[in-house]
Amino acid sequence: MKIFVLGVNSRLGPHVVRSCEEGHSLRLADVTDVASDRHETCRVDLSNPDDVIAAVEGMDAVVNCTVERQDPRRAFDVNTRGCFNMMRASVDAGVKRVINTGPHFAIAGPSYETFDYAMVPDMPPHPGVGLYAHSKGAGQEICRIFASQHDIHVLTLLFYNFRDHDDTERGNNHPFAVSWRDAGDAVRLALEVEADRLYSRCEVFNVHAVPHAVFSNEKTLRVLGFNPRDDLGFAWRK
Amino acid sequence: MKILITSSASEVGRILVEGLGEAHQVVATDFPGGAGGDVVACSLDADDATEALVAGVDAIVHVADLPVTAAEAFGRVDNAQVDFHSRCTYNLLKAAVGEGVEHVIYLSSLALFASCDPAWDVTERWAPQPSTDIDTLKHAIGEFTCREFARERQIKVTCLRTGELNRDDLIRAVFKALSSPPSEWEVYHLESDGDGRRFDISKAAGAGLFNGGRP
Repeated sequence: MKIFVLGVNSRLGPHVVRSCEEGHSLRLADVTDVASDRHETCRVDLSNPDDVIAAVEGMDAVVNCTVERQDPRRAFDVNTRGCFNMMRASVDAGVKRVINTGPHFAIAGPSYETFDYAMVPDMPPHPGVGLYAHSKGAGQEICRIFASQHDIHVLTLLFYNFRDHDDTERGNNHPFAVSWRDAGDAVRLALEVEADRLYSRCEVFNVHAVPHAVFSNEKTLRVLGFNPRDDLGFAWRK
Repeated sequence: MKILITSSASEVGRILVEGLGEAHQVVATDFPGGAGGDVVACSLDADDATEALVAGVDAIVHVADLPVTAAEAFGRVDNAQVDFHSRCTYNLLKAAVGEGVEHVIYLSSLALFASCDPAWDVTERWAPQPSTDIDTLKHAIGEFTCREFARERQIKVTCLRTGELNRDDLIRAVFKALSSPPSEWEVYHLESDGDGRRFDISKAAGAGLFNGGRP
């Protein structure tokens, strides 16, 4: 599969590349310069539609690891309008699968997270009004609408807390945590899962490896076959 | 009541500035490309200008119609519309919350149901089914933004989804929405009487936003 990976210089990007580069052909992109001896690279600003149109040409799938958390203009440029440009270009280029990524509160914002347990990823999205969550949530809504209208699958992977697999320091007993390399593997699984295993053209997955049961990862285990190799028990065991 | 009307240089904006001006103190605003005369130019960025724009206002009528000049200046019209209905609407509401504005009226569109079978009796209890055409998608994005502010109890929002609407019906609906106690989030469908009326407007009629009842 020819895969276009956006945001490879993000924290998550290199782990996606490591997990996907065996067996797939990758085109790597970021808004900053990308260095790779092995893969095709390009510089893409997701808020520039012409950049995105040129970069998705000939690709089978797109992975979006881009993120902007704080700047009030760039957050919408990247997280919201960037999703519009990614989806518009992907549909026009005949791309059949997009893997979008974001924080858990792009779906489960404060009105859920403050009160609820056993939260599944298929809840109606309510990110709230925080800049990061809201701009990502709006981008996800755009992805959902495109998937509802066109022959393209969008699989959105939600993350929150990441740990290095060899970091065994106690603390940060977080209910939505996964190791970086398991996160990269989840992206690969989302790229490779057969379309007939998906209930709809837009599916969301909670990607974590902890037993808190505040957020359910059952769908991720069952549909994607996610089997995290890293036990984060050092964070939550006494 | 002191009312801020956005996109006031648009056709709908001009009608509302004129129609609401006798009963209310109206502040008209639009993008720099659309502003002129008594219209306050504001790009609805996350800055002091937007905060100053909403300071002291009791309610906002967010007409949300981006001037063509501003859209073209952006480079691509579809990107301009996404930016305006997401980022600019977010900035407007965020500033409104910060300045203690109680109520926003957001003008959306019944085009959100254009793909539905005309034989369906679509009401406010139906989920919007937007296409990816930017002239429809932009309203889905705007509603998404407004709904999150309402759901978080940050500000009360009345969402008026309009179809073909004559001048008097438009003024009456917005005037009544401004003068009624607002709910946290309320949606009304509005379409003037005529041969082509497609949508049930009985909820709006029942709330006094509209003359008449079911077509």
